[in-house]
Amino acid sequence: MKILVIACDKSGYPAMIKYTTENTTDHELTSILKVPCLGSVKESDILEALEGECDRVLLVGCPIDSCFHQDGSRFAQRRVNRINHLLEEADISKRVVISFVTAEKISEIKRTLDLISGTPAQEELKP
Amino acid sequence: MIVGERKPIPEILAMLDDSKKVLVLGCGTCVTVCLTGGDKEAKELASLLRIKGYEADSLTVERQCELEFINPLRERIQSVDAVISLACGVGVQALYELDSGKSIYPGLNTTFMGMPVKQGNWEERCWGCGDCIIHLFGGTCPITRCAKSLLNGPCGGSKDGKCEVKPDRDCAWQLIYDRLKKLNRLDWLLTIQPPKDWSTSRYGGHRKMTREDMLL
Repeated sequence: MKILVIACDKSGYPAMIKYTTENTTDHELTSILKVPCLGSVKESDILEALEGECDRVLLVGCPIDSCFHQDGSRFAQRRVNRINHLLEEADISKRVVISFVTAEKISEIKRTLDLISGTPAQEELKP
Repeated sequence: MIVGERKPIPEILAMLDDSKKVLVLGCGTCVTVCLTGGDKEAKELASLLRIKGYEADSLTVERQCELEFINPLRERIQSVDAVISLACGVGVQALYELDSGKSIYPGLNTTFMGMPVKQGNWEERCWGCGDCIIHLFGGTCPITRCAKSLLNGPCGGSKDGKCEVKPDRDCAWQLIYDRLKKLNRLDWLLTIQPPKDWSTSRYGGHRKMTREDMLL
């Protein structure tokens, strides 16, 4: 599955770099885009990304309760839910997924990628 | 402002039928503020249509309800098979008045004239009855906000200040009483309001307004 990753530069991007360095995935990560905060990612940006060849957009950012910009991850979560509703309503199989991580605890990325594959999440990787 | 809600996507797709080139036209006024038909929403819908395989594009004009703003779109509309208007019903009808010969579809259901009461919440405030008497009721319109449009006091069914028809709404007459009490004008409630003349409302037929001094 082709996945475009959008990661915040505070938590998500360092975590993705660490994850891809230390792990392999069956998915094709078409690119990893760095943004200042997930809260800055608009719905239209995500939909535009889905117009291309990627099947999923994966947002990776700070945990909701400890977002560097306070509410960025919360806003992103709401937008992800809204976009997925829109995609479902339009009978489009592409989806957006969000994962909350810290640079020290990257196991959530694996769990999310496993979920995307439709396979059960394996035992969490120890940081 | 005029508040609208986006139609379900399947309904929009069904309207498009065999159209391939589609223009999603947003409106930069009321429906932008109620987050259903502005530039952002037009872009989103166009994006969804492109994912579905349509050749879709989006554009937003400041006001779709005025020919002055939509006249420059004539050529653009000619280049597509269909237009989905995300304006209120007035905007859609204005687009039809361009006589483009193209299919123009409403992407929204126009719902009411209202205001944002808090972030993400809009409530109806005006029916456009054509004979405003809000000042007599401390600024709360009983025609719009009372489920029974009562003009001479509450129905008696409200409970804890809430409407008996829609218990999640405030009883308009409770609001009227509270406001007039604050204004020290409870005596106004003793005046019997005569039956309302509805001929000025939409029940009197299609309405029109003319300013002779502005005619060319």
